[in-house]
Amino acid sequence: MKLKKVLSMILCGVLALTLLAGCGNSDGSSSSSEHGAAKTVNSSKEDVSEEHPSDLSGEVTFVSQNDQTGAVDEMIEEFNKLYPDVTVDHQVLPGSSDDVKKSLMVSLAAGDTDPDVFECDIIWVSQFGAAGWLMDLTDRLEASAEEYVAGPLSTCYYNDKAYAYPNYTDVGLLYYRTDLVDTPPADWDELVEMSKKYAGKDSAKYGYVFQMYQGEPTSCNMLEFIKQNGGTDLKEGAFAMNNENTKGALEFVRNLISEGISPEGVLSHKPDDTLSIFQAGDALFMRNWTYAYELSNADTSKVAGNVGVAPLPSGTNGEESSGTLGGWNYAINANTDAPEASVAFAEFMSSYEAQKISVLKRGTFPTNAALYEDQEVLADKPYLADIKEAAENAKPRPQVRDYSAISSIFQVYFHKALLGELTDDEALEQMDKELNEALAKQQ
Amino acid sequence: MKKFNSLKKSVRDNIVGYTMILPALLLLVIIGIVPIIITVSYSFQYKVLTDPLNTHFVGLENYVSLLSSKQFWEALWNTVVFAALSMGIELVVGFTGALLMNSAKKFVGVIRTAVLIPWAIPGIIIAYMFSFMFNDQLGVVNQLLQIMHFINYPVSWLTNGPAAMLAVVLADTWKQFPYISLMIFAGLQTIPKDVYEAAQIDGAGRVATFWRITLPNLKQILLIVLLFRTMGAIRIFDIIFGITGGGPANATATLLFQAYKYLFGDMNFGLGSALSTIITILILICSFVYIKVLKTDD
Repeated sequence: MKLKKVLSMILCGVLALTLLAGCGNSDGSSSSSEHGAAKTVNSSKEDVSEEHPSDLSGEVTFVSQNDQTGAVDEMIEEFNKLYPDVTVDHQVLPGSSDDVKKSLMVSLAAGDTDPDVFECDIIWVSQFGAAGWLMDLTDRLEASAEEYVAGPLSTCYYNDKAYAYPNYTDVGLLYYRTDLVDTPPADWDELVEMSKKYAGKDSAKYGYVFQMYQGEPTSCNMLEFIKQNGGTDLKEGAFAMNNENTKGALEFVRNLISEGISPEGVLSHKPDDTLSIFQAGDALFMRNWTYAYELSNADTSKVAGNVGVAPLPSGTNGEESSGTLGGWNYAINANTDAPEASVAFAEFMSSYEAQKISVLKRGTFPTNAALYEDQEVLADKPYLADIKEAAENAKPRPQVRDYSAISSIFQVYFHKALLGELTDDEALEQMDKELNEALAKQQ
Repeated sequence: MKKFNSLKKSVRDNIVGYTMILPALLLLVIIGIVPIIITVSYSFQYKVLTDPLNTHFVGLENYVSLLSSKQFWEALWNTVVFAALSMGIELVVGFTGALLMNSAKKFVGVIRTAVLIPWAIPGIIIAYMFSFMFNDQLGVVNQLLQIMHFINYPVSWLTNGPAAMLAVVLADTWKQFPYISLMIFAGLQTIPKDVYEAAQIDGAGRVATFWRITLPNLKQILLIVLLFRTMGAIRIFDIIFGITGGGPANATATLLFQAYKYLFGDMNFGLGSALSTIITILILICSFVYIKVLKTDD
């Protein structure tokens, strides 16, 4: 009995302590950042170097995605060499892009001053910008616009205003096994032919794996297939997707599954699931984002050293390869209490030096154009040259105010058509109707 | 003070009494009632957080667009299927667990603790555990079935509507049966032993004892369990979120999951609040029916 009492008291104590710790933490950060804001009087755009560090001060809370390579920490260290008086509180939000978004939105919608700077998925910029949650960076970004690759730069804009600095870009790519395939397939027919030749044997269980989990993966992958086949999404202010190109793409995906080239489970897979299959040596081809390159070649991967990468193949009706444009930017909270320090930090993180660390350490695709010609980078990442074409041809998802409402409609109807719950005609007709209705509400 | 003392004693007691419960009452109003009123008021507005300057009153428009959308009826159907399946299975498993706990002679503590473990794990963790287990390529379920030669090829559980529903129901069962077991076990303990002894003397068999004595005595407890589980099933979210994300093709998208998508995906607080209000009304109706139907005579 006595033991129980003691135990319960300890538990209560722990509970109380965690509560206190929680309160204490937020108190501490807010007071010190106010302190910082009061001190930030220096205007930016001064020339700082390691010999002449800036005396700008303040506290910047920076939220990034999970990074296991340590690149982000190294970038922050470099920043602190230039701005020794700015404290960067680096916080990591784990999980998928959708999970990170929801955590961030809670703070932003509430008008919190933290986080000051955060990694912002390119598809959030329009939504967050329209809501007035992001600092307007138009003048600053215009000044350095020519440094960046055009495609990713355009994702920082919404309604002709810039709301973010480019971070790294991303695109859907075709990964292939160099030990089995000499030249990657250029179109769907070749993909099917090669898959039939190798898949199902010991070398690789499946031909082609991709991601169609009901969520953003479905939208990204299916729009890719459609555009490879000459189709479109939002065109001239309206969705008209009920056509042969879209139907051909749906048919192609269904055939991949029914012929056993792709497992039925692709409709429930996320990028990490796909990567695991490829790493285990069970697939000949994989569609994935750029992050998969380093991980496919990691020590834990069975196919390390045998991974090639190429633009995605083009479809029967289409002429060019098409991958969905993804990637991340750095955005600044409109309510930040350390604006000067935050701008300096975001600007640095987007700079040539910082991006170089990111490229070398975590294998991201730079948005700074000069890095594609940097000898050191090309020597370390020769594949960057191979996929420059894919990066240049990457197609953005519909750039509308509320993309997530559009994406939910895509996901449901693509799934219904692929699972045969609706015929292609029914699904696409209803999808177009709902998409245009949703679009009209956003005008 | 003098004035207060001059009041009648009953009035004085009342004032003292109300003053005493005032803090608790205030707390209840602030954290319970006010948010509900705010939610209901949002449901009559166009309120999209990403379009903050355009908030305005729209009357019943949110409700009309919900009730005329296919997604709503789909989600309602999914919720009903989920609730019926999960409660049926959970009740059977839970009852079995309770009888097991009740009849255990040895290792009583171990058995009770073992039964309670799933309940102590947060729902979202259970969801991710089950999503790994049911993964077509990497999951343990397919591996076990293949080892036992029930299947030759990996089954793709989560891309087939009914199978995906079964997966989420199983995950929910695993999480919730301890609660039911515990409640029923508590009820079993309150049934006097002499009733069973009398039945034994009268020559009643095990089955008759169960139907005539155990079940009637548990009526109250079962009512409470059913009520709580119905509410829980209508509000199911974490399991769905972690395992299927509403897929495939919305086959497991329940009402609350749909509300979550409106609220936190589209930031549409008007539509999301309208759906939340409908969910609340549904729960109220269910509670009312249960209490009416299962009302005891005494």
